[in-house]
Amino acid sequence: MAIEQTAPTGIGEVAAAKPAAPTAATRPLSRRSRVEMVLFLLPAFIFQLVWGWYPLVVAFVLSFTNARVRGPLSFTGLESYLRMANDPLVARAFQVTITYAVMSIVLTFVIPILVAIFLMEMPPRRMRWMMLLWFLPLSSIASTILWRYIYNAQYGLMQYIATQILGLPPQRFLNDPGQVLFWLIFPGILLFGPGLIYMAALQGIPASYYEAAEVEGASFWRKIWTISLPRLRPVISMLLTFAIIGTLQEFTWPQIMTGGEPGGASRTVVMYMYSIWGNLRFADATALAIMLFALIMAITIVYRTFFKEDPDV
Amino acid sequence: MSAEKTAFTRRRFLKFAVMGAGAVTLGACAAPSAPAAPAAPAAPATEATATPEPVAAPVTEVVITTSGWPIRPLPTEDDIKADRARAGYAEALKTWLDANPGVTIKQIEANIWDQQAIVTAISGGTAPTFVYAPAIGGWSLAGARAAFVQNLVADITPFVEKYGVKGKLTPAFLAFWEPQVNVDGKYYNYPIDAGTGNIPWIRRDLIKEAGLPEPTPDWTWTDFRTIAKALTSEKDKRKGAALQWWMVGGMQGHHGLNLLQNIPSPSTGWHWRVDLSDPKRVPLIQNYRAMIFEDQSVFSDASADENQYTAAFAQGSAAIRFTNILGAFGSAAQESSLAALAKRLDKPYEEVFLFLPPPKGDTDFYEGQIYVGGVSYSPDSSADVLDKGVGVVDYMFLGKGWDIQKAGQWEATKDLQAVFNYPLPIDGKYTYEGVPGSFADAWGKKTLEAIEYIARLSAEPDPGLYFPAEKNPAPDDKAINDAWSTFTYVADNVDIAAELKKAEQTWNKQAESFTSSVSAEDFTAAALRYYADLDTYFKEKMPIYYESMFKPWYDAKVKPALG
Repeated sequence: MAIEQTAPTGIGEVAAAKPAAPTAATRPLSRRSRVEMVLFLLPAFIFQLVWGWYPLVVAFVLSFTNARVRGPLSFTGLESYLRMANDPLVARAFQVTITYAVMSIVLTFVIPILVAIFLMEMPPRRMRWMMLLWFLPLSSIASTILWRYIYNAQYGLMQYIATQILGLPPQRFLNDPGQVLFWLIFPGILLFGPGLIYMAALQGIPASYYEAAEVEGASFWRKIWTISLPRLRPVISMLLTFAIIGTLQEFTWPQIMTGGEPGGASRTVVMYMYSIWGNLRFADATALAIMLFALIMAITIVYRTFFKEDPDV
Repeated sequence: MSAEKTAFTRRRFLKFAVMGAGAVTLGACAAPSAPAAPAAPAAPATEATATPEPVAAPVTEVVITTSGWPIRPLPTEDDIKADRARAGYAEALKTWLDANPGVTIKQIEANIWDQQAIVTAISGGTAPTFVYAPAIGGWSLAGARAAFVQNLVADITPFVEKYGVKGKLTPAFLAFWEPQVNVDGKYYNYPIDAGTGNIPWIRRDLIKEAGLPEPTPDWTWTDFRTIAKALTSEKDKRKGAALQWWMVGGMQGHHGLNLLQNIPSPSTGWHWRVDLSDPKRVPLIQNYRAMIFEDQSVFSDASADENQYTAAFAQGSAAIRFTNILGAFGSAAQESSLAALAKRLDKPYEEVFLFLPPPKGDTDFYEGQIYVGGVSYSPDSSADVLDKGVGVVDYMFLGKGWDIQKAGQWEATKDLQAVFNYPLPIDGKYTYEGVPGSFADAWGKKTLEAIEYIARLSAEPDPGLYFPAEKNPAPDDKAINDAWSTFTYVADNVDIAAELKKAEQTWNKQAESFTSSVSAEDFTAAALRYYADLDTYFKEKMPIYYESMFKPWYDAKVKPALG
């Protein structure tokens, strides 16, 4: 035991005697290389500065002013924030947005994981057909308009399916405040969301992992639980971050499909922000944007703190 | 040169990239080019040909941008082939463009009818030259006048004088238009036409087929429900009416209730509060909802936009709809026009369509429906653009261009309906040189009489003409509109009184955080003048409404507030 503790290994001796050779990552850069590095980074930095950080800072500053299209600005302190905090429609919009985000993530984010896993089990030919059906490139705006007709409670296709095929009583679809968010999200389920990315990630998992599991007698579900899902974790983490940010900023679908109706039941925060902006309340709109930004940032930080990306942890 | 020297190395790439970026940055930061000198007045074409040696006048390049209203770019040959009626427009505009060298009219993508979209475009400096002030101001005169004083549209006073519009309007239309668009002596709008508010378009032929008595101008909402129910047909896949969500508010307005929902409150920062507690509202809304959910006689859907309501009427799947009269006179060449529907039915237009004032409530209350529509201009327009922009509108709507258009339309189509598509000419011209016929010949005498009747309905004093234009942002009506939307779309049991209370409380809560730019003293003085004029107006024109609704409301709610 004592010998083991004191006897130096050959490798240890060498390591102690000679510092590690600098790698490409640790080798100091020449002045020219540093200048080149800065120049390569500069376009991306300028782009981010002009289109990312500058509007954010300006919006933040505007939210403390009486911003208007024309005329001098004056500092109004927290007036816009207080106005937004006391506006009952803001609270309603946040409630709608969070409900929409949760439903959307559950329905259009989780389901495609399962579908992708099942697709991978199919024969390659059938899988290719299924993928083709799902990933047809559709214009978002065009499909939105199409779906508006499909949902029309008087003569839409969905009403036909509900009453004539399923024998249900006439449905209200987008006219029902209790259902409107589901029907807005429903096309996203059919369009398969991020499924293609999951499939790419699943194809990257070495087949030997599954073969080894099969040798050990692992069931189908066991393989999914212990191999597929852990290996998808980095992809899920990245996509979930984007999904949280995207759904909390949802605008296009509800704006075109319902305009926030019925009775504000599908009016998201960004839609309300847009209408406030149109009412020339620029400071209020930017204050609301900052409030939404803070919410998204907080949720993202909490999520990133607790969700471990590394599949081997 | 060696290959090494000519290779496009990383270093060379960076060098070029930096140079390029520098050039772009300098270009972007450079001061805009100096505005061109004002154009010399364009000489009339006849003078130009008479001058032996014309001296080339300096041509100012002016680009007028348009969303398609009220001026479109010069139609192409294909456009004219598709719709022959556009030949006259093309001829008129070409004449003007020839007389105004250097002017280009360019179509851009913009929705000038959507408040959010157009305000966003104005704030971003991308609005077209021609804009519509009521849309910017939330479709009220007060909102439009607020847009004027907030400089959301351009001051066009010099061009109103230059083109002499006041001498071109009939006295009645001039008296209507001028006070509305003039704030502190400045003009912000150029008139082009007159229209109506949302009036009912009704399928007269279907009423006849159903054996119903034809409704008269003093019809009521009770009559409306009966007719809508009778015209609903499962077999023909037709609803009695197509009503957008805001019609539930319109219906209350037809009963004289909208006026009574705004209570002056000079002691508060915003000076107004909303009151939706009138007990008459609940049964009226119940009745309205019964049309939708019990009678199943009304088409209303949260997924439908304005075009779908228009299509429902034009295709015969709805027998009544409410909208501006101006849209009713497209020629039969346009597939979605009413004239095309009459043609398909092989019946005269006036036998197919009936136009009436909106149904009344249970008093003698009615609302005036006429307005004078006009063009406002983007605040970013230069003086040259404003000059030419006003000039082309004046020429095409109130000048020689109008006559050229009409004569050209007649020549191209020999169709009076393609020529007489404006029922209320603000310059009083009902006939055009070279066009044999009149509006009545084109659309029928009954149609003209109906429009003239609607045009004669007097309008109550508008608060926008009494209260100083607001310079601060105002609370919007979203809280109230949410209630209207709920009443229209939600089929389940809706507690109407509770929804009204919620809308009222939400609006008043929102208003607490707004401050008017008008002092309490000025507001009170304006309110006293406004209500005094309303009192006189209703006493004279609508004595039943005055005694049963306005006076009791005024004494109970307004008088104590104004002191």
